[in-house]
Amino acid sequence: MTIEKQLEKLLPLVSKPARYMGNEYNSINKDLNGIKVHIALAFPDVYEVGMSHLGIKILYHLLNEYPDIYAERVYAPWIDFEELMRKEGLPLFSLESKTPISKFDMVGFTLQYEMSYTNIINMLELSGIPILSSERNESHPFVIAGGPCAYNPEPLADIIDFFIIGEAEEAILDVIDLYKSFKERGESRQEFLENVAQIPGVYVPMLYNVSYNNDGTISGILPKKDHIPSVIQKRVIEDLDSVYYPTKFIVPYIDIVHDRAVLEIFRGCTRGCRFCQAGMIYRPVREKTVDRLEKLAKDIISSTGYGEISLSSLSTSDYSDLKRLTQVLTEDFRQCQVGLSLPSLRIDAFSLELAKKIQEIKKSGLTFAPEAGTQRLRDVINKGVTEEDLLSSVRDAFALGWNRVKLYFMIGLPTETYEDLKGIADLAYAVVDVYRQVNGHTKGLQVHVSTSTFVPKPFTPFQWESQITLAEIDERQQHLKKLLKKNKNIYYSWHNGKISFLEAVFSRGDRKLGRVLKIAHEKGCKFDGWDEFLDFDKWMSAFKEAKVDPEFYAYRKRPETEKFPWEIIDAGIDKRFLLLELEKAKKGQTTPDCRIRCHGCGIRRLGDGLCEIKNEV
Amino acid sequence: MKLRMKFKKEGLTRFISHLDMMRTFERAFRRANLPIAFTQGFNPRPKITFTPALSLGVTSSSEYMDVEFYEDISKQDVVLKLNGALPEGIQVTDVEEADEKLPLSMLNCAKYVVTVILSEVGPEELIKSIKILLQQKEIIVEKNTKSGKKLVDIAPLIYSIDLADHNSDTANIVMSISIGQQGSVAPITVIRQLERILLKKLEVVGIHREEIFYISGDKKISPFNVEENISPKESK
Repeated sequence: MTIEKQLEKLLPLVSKPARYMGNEYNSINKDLNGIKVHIALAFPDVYEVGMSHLGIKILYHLLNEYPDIYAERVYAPWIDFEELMRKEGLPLFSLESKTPISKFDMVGFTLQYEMSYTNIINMLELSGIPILSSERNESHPFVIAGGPCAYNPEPLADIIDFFIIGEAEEAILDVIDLYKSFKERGESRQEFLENVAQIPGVYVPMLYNVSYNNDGTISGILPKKDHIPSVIQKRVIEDLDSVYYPTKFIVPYIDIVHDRAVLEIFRGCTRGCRFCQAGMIYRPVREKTVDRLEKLAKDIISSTGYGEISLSSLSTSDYSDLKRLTQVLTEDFRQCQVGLSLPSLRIDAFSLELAKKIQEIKKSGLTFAPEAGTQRLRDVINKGVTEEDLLSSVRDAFALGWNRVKLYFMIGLPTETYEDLKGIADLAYAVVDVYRQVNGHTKGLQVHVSTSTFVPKPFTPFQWESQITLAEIDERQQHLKKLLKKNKNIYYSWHNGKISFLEAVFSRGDRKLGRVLKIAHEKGCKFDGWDEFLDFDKWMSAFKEAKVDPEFYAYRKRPETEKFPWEIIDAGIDKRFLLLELEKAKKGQTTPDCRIRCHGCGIRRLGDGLCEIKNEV
Repeated sequence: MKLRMKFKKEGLTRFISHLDMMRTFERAFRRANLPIAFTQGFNPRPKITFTPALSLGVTSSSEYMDVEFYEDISKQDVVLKLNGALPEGIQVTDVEEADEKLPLSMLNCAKYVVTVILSEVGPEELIKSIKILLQQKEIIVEKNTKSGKKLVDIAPLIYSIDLADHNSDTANIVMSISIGQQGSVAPITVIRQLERILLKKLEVVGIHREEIFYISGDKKISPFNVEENISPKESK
């Protein structure tokens, strides 16, 4: 029975069958006969999450521009469908041509969060592809990966054949070109891996030996052969304005997480928050021009029919010409009822003025991310927001009629004390007071306070820091709960500390964690980022069986001299700069936005003119 | 200007829910660059109304929608442009000026073709079971509603059931049953009742909505053929 026939039988039995049927508007169908390279782009989470991810969309449409390449999509099947697949012996298949994933030339996973790693293993298993790289042979696809978590590839070193580090728009084409000639010449898998390792930005873990010190830390990750690079520098697109950007985005039938057109306005961020990995690894800032963005926006709307277009970046307010861009777009789309949404907006007078015009923001309430409760701690993390900024913005917003505010904080940041926790509560109460001053009452006001637990990330100034213990996470959450429950306008919610703990383990983990992942998968761990599926006891017993101590990764403060697993990667940010930032953090000194002054983070090493030259330190 | 369009929903698109279909059309209209009217106010919605929802997994050749345009546009143009912007499987087959005398929400009867596999059950048995079911004065079934389980009598909701045709493998059961706000029954519920009489399982391989209309007394009116069949009183 073909997969299509089996699907006809199974789809009526599952929730949201549209997750597995493909056939969406703008999805691409090709005749498999003319295809030289068949690549499955895999997102290790459910359809609604995976379909919201911009990176995969860019690669999908870019690769399909080439007549002899066919890129298809695959997502993690939801629990109910997975059960049926296993029962009926249905292998994991691509959404477009319903081809079994094991028949592809390459399967590329995007690594957006550590908690999706067991889903990768599960998807490989459902495909009938051996989980370990060392067990695959010429009959299997190459399993590749990229995305932010690939900046520390080591926990997946046993599973992924090779990683593409950094922006993949150019690198993936280099890889595919090489693959074509490899296929024509009929070379071995090993030969291809040794050759692909020489493409800039490509890391082939099996070509490296890892040695450890007695205390379990890394003493070195060294290439096994001379021609294999000893450090892998990330790939960067130099001219973002002219780089390929799709306009015929797939339009899903079902409601996905971000169900709107996405216009990427720039990459990188110049703010330099010290906990933020994205702010470091996506450097330097590169903007697209208003003209190009206007043209893209018009094309996207006419080819997708979306009623909303979202301006995407790490910090929308920082786009140099935001005022003109929003004016132009609002003007263009007034007639056809297309709304504009601006996520990641810093709330100030200007953005509120914008917000008045853009209803989308009004609907969802206003979100502020002070991240820490006191000025002292905000200086430590280099979050350039003051209490005055926040309260005056909130005052303006209340005066304009808003009555819902979300405040995001992190707990467990380096140097945090209970004084800082009290600061979170004080800020929330101050917001309530401002509302009372503006409106004379607090009826209808909702102040949502949300905390997540700080996870130290590679390539940030805090990569040497420890995470607070699970017991401390619980204590601090309970403490805040007590402080915040006295006011009925304040609603407190917090992220699951156990998930943050596992994130901390895997974000700075090494190769030894591969075994843990495999055992956790065997025990049934999947969708671990979903609160309702996380089975922490299974994880703990997986660590035990693998004889790996998770606290070694999460709780240990690293000395400055330690060699990190991710140092096999060059993210373009100098260790010297990160250490300097760490020292400044400890002293509570801030570092201004690098659009004002260059702080010599190192990114300019990666190319002349990559980053606008400002006066050097 | 308000146009009434007939469309079909075939193939994999049968797995798209009613709500998702509405969104699909809104986007298709925008892609087709057609001048559809929007509601005023804070959250503008396109002015489109549909026939009563089709169950997930059911195909149809007889869905209708009324669409309001803010300027006049030729009927042929609408069909051509819209069909060029719709996903495979959804297609407009006919268009007329909407007759306000019969709003689509008033439609109360649909004709379905249910295809079942004839392995355990022969055609004669099937005909007999249909006869028995239709003779029942009352057919009480359990229905899941928002407020919990409820017992309802579906006998008054069934207009007719017939074995239309069959070959050695499959049979097509045609049924006209009630839809809409006044009361509705799903074709699969009727099939389950036949199974109850047969004491055997009927494997359903397809359910298709073939026609949809308004029944009043012994009058049967199609959305495109309203004419004088409806008295103004009834359209209230």
